[in-house]
Amino acid sequence: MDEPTILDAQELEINMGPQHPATHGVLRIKLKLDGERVLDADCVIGYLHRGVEKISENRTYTKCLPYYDRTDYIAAVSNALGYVLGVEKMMEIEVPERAVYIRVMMTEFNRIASHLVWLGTHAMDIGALTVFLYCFREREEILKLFEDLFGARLTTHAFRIGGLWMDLPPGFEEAARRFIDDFPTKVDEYEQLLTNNRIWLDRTKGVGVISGEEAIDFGLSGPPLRGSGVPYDVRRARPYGGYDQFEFDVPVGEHGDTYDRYLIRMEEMRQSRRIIQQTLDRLPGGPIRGKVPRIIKPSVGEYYSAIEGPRGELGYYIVSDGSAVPFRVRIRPPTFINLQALKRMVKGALVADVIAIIGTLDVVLGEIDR
Amino acid sequence: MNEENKPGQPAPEGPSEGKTGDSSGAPAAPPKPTTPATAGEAKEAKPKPPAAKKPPVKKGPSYEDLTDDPLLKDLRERFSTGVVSGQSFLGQAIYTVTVDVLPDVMRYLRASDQWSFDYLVDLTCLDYIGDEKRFCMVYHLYSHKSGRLIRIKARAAAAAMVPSMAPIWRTADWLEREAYDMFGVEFSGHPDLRRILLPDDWLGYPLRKDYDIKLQDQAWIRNHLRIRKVPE
Repeated sequence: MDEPTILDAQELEINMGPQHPATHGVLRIKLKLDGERVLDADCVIGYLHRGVEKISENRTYTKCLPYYDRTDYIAAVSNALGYVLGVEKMMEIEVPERAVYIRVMMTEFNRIASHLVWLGTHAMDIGALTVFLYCFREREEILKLFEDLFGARLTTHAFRIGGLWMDLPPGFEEAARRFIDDFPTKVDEYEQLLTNNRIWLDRTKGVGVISGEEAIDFGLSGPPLRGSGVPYDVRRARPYGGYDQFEFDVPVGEHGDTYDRYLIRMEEMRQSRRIIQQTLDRLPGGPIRGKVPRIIKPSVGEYYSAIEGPRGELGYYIVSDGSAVPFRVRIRPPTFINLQALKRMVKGALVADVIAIIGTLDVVLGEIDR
Repeated sequence: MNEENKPGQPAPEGPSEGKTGDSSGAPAAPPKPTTPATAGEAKEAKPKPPAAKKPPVKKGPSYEDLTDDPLLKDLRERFSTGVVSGQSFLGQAIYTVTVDVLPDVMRYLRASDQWSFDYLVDLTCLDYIGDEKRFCMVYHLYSHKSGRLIRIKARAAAAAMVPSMAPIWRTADWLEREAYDMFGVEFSGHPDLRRILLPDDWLGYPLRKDYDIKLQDQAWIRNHLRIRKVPE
């Protein structure tokens, strides 16, 4: 007798985000729901688009650098590494050993800091607030190290073409050692809170499963790819920036679910600590910057330089036309490509799992939108 | 299966061929190298020559033709004239093909057991404004089996449709949307070609070379952000 209301609808379309605390920034997902089940999801991105690639075409090679910090701001230190390495390769600039070691050390510190932000927010999204406080306690220590060395906590402008801006300040090595000595017990602490936690297991096991084959098809990289059992880590596959000199393991998952990706990132933090330990033990002396021409003008050519960022393969495809301004700098954004698989991973899941899956992909919208 | 050609390592083949005519014959090569072809080699610390006063421009790396690359040979056999050139720059292999054979080449590279480039690393576009074939599509492929990374290039005219790679790798879906968004390249066979980073009703393609960095769609900003007077 009555007209159908919204309650009678079989399918309901709702917006999650862009202003939603669990979307890690301004991500908007159009969810098509049947009750609690997700039928389809469509990501709407671009709210943070600043045109970093366009800006790069209008700045000199050195002036581009700070912009890359601001793409993935959670991993600002390591972000520009791929670009710097690429330009050095095209310019045939030799980087002194000490700078190579410090770069690796800071990159790995950054990986830990980034994983800590991921762990804290991911756990908080799922409902474990305590972990967040623990993680930010340790991250604070790392940010202090960044501030000591680079003069900034977040937008660090860490690496320069040819090496570094400044050498390690006095007391830095001791502080770094103190941190890595304590860190294993801290990771154990997080694991105590989560790894065998009944609620954590229920919320993460079997959630957001993606097979290795599909993960490759979607171009996933970083922990989401390794969680599905594909041992692809750029540090291993195509060693760059001195990574072939250090020992570390690449953890790989089996089930491709949220829980495996969690375990992988926990192990990666331990492995990063191991690399830092090696850099500190073998830190050579000497200069921190190689001979760099005043004007960076690579000859005509192109180079694809990729690093294993905390979120996956972060590549810079640099094309030079022989002038002092890049012809094109293409950033291969890992989370942009990883996020594409969200649609596939949430299909059939519960609304609450969508939050867990966004968390496990570890998205940073600053990088997705560039 | 060629083991010797690992990515990141300089391509081992034809080390002595480097100084030959380089890329000049290949239509798809980026703008001609500006380095003088006969730049005198900087001699080792000889104070005698007058040139030593002003050190000549350091001759940077240059494009080298791939000479006996098995993949290039295989592609040439299968696609004959569709393969324009095979080069390497700083050890990274670049294969240029025509747009017509592009989907077949890609499908072959992915499916063949010998190469199995199962992973589309990146897809992007370059804008060579003023050229007849204005856009250069650039694909980076990686094989999890052999650990090799290659680059495929194809030139397309501004009005031409580029075949979509989305049916071959799902990665290409969003990447092609981005290329469409930023360059206005149209992909045929793409499941859902619309803008991705910019608003749907935005005018213009920002990463084209004729789109000034200060340009923006003022009408869009007026309408949506309610800013009456948009600063120039």
